[in-house]
Amino acid sequence: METAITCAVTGAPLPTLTQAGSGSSETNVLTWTTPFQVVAGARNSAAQAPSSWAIFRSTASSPLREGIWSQSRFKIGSQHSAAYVYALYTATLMGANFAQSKLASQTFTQSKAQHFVCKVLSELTWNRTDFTGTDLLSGKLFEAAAPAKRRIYWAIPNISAESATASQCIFDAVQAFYLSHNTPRDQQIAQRLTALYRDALDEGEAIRSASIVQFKNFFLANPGLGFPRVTLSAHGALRARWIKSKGNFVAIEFTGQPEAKLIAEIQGLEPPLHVSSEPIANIVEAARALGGSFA
Amino acid sequence: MNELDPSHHIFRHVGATKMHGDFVDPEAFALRTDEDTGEVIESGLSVNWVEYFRQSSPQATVAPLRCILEKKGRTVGAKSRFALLNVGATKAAAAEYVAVSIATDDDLQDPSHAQVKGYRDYNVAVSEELAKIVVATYPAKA
Repeated sequence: METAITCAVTGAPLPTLTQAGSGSSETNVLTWTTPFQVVAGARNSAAQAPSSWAIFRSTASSPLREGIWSQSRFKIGSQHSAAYVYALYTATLMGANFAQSKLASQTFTQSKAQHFVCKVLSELTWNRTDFTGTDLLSGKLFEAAAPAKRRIYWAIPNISAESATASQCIFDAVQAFYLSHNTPRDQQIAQRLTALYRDALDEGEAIRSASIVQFKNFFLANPGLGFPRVTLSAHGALRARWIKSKGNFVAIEFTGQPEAKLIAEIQGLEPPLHVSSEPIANIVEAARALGGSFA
Repeated sequence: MNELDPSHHIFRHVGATKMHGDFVDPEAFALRTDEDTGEVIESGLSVNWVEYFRQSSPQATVAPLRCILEKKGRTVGAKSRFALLNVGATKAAAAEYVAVSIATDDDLQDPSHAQVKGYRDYNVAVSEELAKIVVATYPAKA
């Protein structure tokens, strides 16, 4: 049985699924039984949580949705190969990236990957009884291949999820700054973030996702602050510094934790250098109370 | 381990992510810390003794120094730079908080290697001071 599927975003055909009824098939000897169904959800669906991605459900029936994914709605029966499930999962992620703008703004979080690994891949416990073929050689090959395939499946999603999360956070932040109403400053920040991200990649460094999100939220919530110098700490946290003059500055390190690091040097303070951890919500007031300026 | 002459100079390699335009983040001069505890895990700041190379200018020192660092396995990014500091000025700046030593720490691979030591307890404060006395920066890859 074949199920033809095309990606709604790219229009490219996805690999076809052929379900083999016996082990005599050349390409689909290895079949796998799963209780899961694959459902492509609509991005704007109000009924479910964010669903730009293929969602793997354990329920027998899943509502199909209208919207951007309507052309690619698909529902696969209970028997399909694990390789196909993962190929579909990956293809859907790629489709989401190609769509960019609004569609891509639905962040593919690491938790989605963890869900895939913990809930879906944990079902991959092949044994001899899963083999549906009839000849002995195919059966032995099946047994030999199964452990190797499991190892591959456990390795790949973790790698994809890490990079997708960091790059997606940068993408979301840059997009948010470009779309903000505070155009001149936020465009500068967007350009700086992009350059910094490229520099980090060149130098083999990573920017913490939590730091990016905190940085973005902070600046969008504080449109009155000036354009700072933006750098990256040794531990991957974004740092912003407003320099009034030599020996007179305010700096914030966006740790990604509820408390950010405040460093300020203000003439008149005793001692002039102040270092503390402050709740991110109060950090501007704390710095201003010291006499700091964000101009 | 010989103390460097106060009239001499040191280079500190600064990655592109620690700079924004002509601004050098003071963290480039901070000793490395443990991510979880925040405890300083480095005994001294790695720098290179400029006069060792006996070149006509600091700029001329960059190419041989870059080769040394690359042979040691260090990543020298295309946009990274070398920050030039005077030894005497560095000691004076740090002395606002603590006395530091700047001495050679050469090895076979890197005979110009030196270390700035003695400010583990004043890591943030001294690194802020050192950033203020950067004489110039030079592209690591011209």
